[in-house]
Amino acid sequence: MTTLGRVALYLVFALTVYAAVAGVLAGRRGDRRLMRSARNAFWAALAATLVAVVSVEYALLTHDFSLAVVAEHTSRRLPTGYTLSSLWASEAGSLLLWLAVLTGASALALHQNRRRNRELMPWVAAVLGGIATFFAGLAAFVSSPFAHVAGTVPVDGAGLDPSLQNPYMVAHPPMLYLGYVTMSIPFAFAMAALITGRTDARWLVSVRRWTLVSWAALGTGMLLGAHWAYVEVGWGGYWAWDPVENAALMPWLAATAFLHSVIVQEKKGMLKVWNMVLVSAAFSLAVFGDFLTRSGVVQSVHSFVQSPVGPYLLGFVAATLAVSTALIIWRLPLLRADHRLESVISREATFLFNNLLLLALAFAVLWGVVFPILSEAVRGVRSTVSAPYYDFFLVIFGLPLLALTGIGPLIAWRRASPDSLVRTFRWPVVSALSGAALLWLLGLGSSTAGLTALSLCIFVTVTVGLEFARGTAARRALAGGSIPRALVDLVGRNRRRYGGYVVHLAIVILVVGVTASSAYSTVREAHLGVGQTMVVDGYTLRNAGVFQRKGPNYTFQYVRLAVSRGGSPHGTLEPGQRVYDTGQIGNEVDIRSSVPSGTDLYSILQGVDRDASGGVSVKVLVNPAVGLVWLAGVVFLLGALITLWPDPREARQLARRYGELLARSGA
Amino acid sequence: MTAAAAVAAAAALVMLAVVVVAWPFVSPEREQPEERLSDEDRRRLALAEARDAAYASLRDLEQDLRTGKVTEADYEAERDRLRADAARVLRELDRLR
Amino acid sequence: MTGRPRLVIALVVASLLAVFLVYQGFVSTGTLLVSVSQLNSDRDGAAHKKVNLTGVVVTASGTDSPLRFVLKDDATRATVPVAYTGSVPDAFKPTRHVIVTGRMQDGVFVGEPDSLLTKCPSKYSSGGSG
Repeated sequence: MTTLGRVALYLVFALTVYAAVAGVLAGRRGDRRLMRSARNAFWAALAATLVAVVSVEYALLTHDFSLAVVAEHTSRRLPTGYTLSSLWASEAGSLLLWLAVLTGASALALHQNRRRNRELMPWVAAVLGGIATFFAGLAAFVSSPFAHVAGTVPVDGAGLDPSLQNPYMVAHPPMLYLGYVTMSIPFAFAMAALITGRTDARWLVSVRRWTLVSWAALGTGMLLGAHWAYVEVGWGGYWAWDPVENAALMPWLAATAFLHSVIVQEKKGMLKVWNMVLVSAAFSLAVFGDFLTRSGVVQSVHSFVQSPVGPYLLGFVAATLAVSTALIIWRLPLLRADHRLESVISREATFLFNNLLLLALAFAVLWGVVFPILSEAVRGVRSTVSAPYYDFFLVIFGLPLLALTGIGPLIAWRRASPDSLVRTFRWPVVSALSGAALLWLLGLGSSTAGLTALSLCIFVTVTVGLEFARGTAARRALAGGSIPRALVDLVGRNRRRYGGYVVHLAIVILVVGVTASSAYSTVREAHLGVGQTMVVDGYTLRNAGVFQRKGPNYTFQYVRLAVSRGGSPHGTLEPGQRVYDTGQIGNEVDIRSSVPSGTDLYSILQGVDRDASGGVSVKVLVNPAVGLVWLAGVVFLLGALITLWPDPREARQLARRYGELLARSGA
Repeated sequence: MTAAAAVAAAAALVMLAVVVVAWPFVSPEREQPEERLSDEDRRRLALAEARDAAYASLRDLEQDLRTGKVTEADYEAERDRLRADAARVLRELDRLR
Repeated sequence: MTGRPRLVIALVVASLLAVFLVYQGFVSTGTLLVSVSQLNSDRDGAAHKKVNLTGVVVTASGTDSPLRFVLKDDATRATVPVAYTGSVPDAFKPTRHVIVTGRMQDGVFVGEPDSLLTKCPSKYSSGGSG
């Protein structure tokens, strides 16, 4: 079976090379059959990749420890679900996953456009073929999942790291990969547009939708990872500004900028150069993110040993930057704006500021990540930055961004007069200021940044609420009907705008959750003998003894903490330690989430007294409103879905416009 | 899976890939609308898009008026501007016909 | 874009850049990451300030508090004793690479609470608590 898999992988490489070459030839000669052949090559490459995936899964399920990926990441006792998902626990296996998503997305994108953008698609195929060739080459020749284990074949494998045996960690890599990989599609479209010198509205639609998919996947992937860190890694937080976390954040920021900036190109024909730069940056950052995750070049809790693919990935990023820069500069005349920016008090300007701030934040994060490498190169000693650095820039760039989230949708195009500004912003500003005063009275003034963030959240929420309310009212004035009907109609007719507003609401929820759980949380550490209690922010916890229980492949030792609040019982917490059969140890925190307020009581077992007296060292945190962070993820997906939902009216209009043209040219 | 079976399966996979990739060259031409656009067609398409964009902007402007984002005075000034833009585009389109 | 808008945009860009410069100039720019041998040779004053120390665990004293262990340099034979309180990552044991934040005090490197991180030797797994 592994022979089949190996051959399949070489076949993928051959097919992607062919696709790239055929794409270039099809583009230059306008040969439709070559184009179809290139498209078919992607489907064939997908099939071959899936054969390779099945081979690896077969080896995993049959415990074939002659393969390094099986021996290093699974064991006989590992539950089947985790055995299957350990495909992406290994570096070579995850490369295979990357390849599967890439060939699949490329085939789909080419298939969707098989009757459109005829001059563009061969070059899209060529670029995608080039990218796929690179990754196929890595998987086939540099870091193959079919590599033999070094030395003798072990009887049992090393087992999966206990902290990875968690549903969130199963879902997080595929989701992130979906995000990283699908960024190739908009990039390929953008490069093809530059190569052919052709951009039109349909190109923009395709690019936008794929970017949206990538962006939604990256966002969801980050939240899944954050949730995993919260429940599994167990320090009480969910985001550590670890380089690998930042690796996903940077392309997400660039994609966010692009998704907004592209609206201006669509409506006003402006910011064309910006958009090309943003989409190239998003893709380059996505591959760079993969490089950070795999190369071990920066210290990270997630980082791997120096992986052989590191230098290749870096070279690929450099090549991508060089080629896209060259193409953009070459086509600068084509990217001239149709209109000028006439006033800084206009929606165009807010989008421009949005771009600048998002890019500034992405750059700040990038700088923080590469700073250790640069400082070592310059001074010989590594200097690292940590949370305070990132928090500073998050606040200083993030708060204005939050403000823009509320200002942008309400401000007029081209030039907003002072009268209209007063009229539209009166209520949001008043609400925000009174809200700020109220929060300050409630004692939340301890953190200026926190108070400002929460006030801006009120501002944005009111603006979004007004948009929905006024829009519904206008719809009813126009077409009658009940309020729910008008609302559904409103959203249906303008999915992008209102889906976007839902996403903005998700951001508001996220900011509230993050602000509350970081600026206003409480931490206590204590040593408790049996029967002793500790108090954290109104909760009383009593040590009710140390116990043991057995799991499928581990023994779990834990302390039972009886919780009470205001004298009445409030359940129990059982933080402890799992000792796996393979000898690995995993700390398991216990969290009690209170649903209405989203506040978490978070307990960590730090040590059990060796004299077996039942005494323990524990650390307990109260994280207010942290549940909102996860809720934000759900709302975020909902908004992205609304925005992505195809609009039949838009499709009809585009088709009709093209149809007019063809009818006229007598084709 | 025996070695022979593996080789056979691998060979089958490779052959399938070759067939799929070569298919467009050996299958009969299917009728599909040719989308080779002349420069003039391209110009017409760009103008059609500009026309539709102007109409969309006018609709957006009306919506902005209804939801109170622009004042009456601003609305009228901008509407006249957009109408002039649309008219100019329509004239050019006519000229090309 | 001409005139006023261009000026405003330029000012915005300039102020964004200024933010970076101000931060680099006035706020501390980061903690040194040093190896055991760099610490022992007082490279860049590492023995006198807070640093991130990285090395290989040689011996560890079980689960007393403070946890005492010896770190060895990756490349040379240099070692340093470490005293640490706080959460210990699951993967901590002799032969693991770790990073701990702290400072040298009287010949012992005293680690800050909860700053101990391990780098898991196997590829693609998390190393421990943050």
